[in-house]
Amino acid sequence: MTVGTLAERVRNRAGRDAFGEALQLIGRENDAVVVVGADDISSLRGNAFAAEFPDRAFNVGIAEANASGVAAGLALGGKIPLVLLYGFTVLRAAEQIRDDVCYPNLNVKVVTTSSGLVMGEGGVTHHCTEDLAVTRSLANMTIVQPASALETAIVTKAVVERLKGPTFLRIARCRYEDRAEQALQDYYLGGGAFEVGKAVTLREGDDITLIASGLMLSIALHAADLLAESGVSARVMNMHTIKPLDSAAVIDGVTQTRGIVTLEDHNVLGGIGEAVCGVVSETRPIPVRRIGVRDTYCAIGPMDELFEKYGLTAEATVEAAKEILAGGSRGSR
Amino acid sequence: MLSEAPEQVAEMLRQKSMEARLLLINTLHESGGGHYGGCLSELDILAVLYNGILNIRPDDPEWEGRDHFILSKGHGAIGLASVLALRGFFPREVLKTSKKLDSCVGWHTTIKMPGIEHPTGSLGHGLSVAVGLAVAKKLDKKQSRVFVLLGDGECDEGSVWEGAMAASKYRLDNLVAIVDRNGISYDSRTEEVMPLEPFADKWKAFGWAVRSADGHSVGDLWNAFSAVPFEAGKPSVVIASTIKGKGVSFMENSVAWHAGPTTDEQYRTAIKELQKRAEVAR
Repeated sequence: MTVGTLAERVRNRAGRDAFGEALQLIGRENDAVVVVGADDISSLRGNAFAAEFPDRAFNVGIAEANASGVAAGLALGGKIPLVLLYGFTVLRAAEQIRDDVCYPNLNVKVVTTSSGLVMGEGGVTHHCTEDLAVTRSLANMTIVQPASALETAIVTKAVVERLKGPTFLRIARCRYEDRAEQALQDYYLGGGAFEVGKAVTLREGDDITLIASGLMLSIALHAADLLAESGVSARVMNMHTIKPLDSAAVIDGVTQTRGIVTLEDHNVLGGIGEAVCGVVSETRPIPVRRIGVRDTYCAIGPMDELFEKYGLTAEATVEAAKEILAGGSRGSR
Repeated sequence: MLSEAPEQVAEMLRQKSMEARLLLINTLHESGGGHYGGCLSELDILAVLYNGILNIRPDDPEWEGRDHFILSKGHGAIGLASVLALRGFFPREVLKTSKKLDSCVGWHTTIKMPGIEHPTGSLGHGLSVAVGLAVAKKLDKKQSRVFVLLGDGECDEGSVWEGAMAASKYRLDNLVAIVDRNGISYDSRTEEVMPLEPFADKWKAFGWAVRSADGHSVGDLWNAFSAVPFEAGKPSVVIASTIKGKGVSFMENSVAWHAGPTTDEQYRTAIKELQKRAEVAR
């Protein structure tokens, strides 16, 4: 299937719907692909796959630790399991993911569609701003977070078809915003490739580098527009692979711009910002500001309003960028 | 029960088991101690599986058609290592590296040891993995069976029962769980720490075909393992009554001997006792 056809199929769809589409297509092409769910197969849009391939979809009930162990066993038996988890349950299954999937380096894809604050109204138990901290610290784990419906479909196919080994796929439950959809459509339909571990620079700029992925990419693009209005040239990097991080791209940001702002719908402890800081501080330190949840549990509310409340916005990004460029040192926001 | 197994098979299995016990005690003592209690309680089960039941090729551990075994009670690693070494998966000398830097033999199973299907140690993991593996075998219409050995204390873990439900739902009659029911976990007796009884009823209620066995009678174990699946369309569980520390009088049925070092005198006593039992058995 061409990228154009794929783009048509997932146009205007939510991240999880695009994942479901891709999953079904992959299922038709490769009968080793199986799905393990924890009473969440329809929530993660694995239901079309399950309807077409009932013998290859295993719903083990509300038992995420077991689901992850079962997925490990299926991989041990030569299958390519995608284990579908609610974001916050990655924490419950963390030990199984560590011991049974990552340590033996098994080909299991852990998929969530509700990480971050996308289930904001659900309250703290349904928020998930810790999953990257946990999965980043697991050796052998690759972490990919797409930022548009098309990229979700492309990434899902790629990690199943081309990537052998433990992978965490962090997909949005909702629609991605138009800015990101458009930018990534232009990129992929224009012949751009998805390569694991290779960041995509969507906008060139030489004053400041904005690094984001997932739902935060559109906010970064918006911030770049706002910065352009005040004459600041911002580079925007789609860091779809969070681990292994594209250090070379980060270093380009370090050497070619005056500072970096990272964006994540995750605790700033253990997330993308820290990953970037790790590279920056080991090469040539320049100022980095991290936009993200600052080590707190968030209130109940719609995601967009939570983003406002906790400063995950284009305006906060602009402010952080300008502070860096002004050489200001107001400490961490 | 013994009469159902040919006497020479039973004699061979007893011999293997006794050799493994001696090797285990030597290995543990030389490496400064270890999980004596649980390794000794599981050894007859492992000796019967590896010498009389599992369809395996020690010179080709990855052989496609093999039966699979997962030691969910991963702290029994050196017991398993002793059985694997005697079965020819690797030279006995490997056990001399036990717990040393870069060894494949540690307190718990590692992926580095030949013959180890899956690493374990943290409890409550093995059954889920065995379920997934058994499902994969069913999908591929393979005859291979999956055996998994759990500790009884391990069955406090909720994930064991999550796995038990899934095995039953997917009618995994190619899956055999064995519980090393020695009645003692780390802190105390299992029935004090967290009562498991009525244990067989719990497995039955979770949809398993249950059979009890004397976990130190090679004949009884051989008969039980030879009869799987006990019911078509159901996973099988063998609840093997065992004695923690079996074979060494001062370790037997003792909470204190879950793990620890042995003095040289204790070591000599243990070896002497085991050799005497071996002679009596002959």
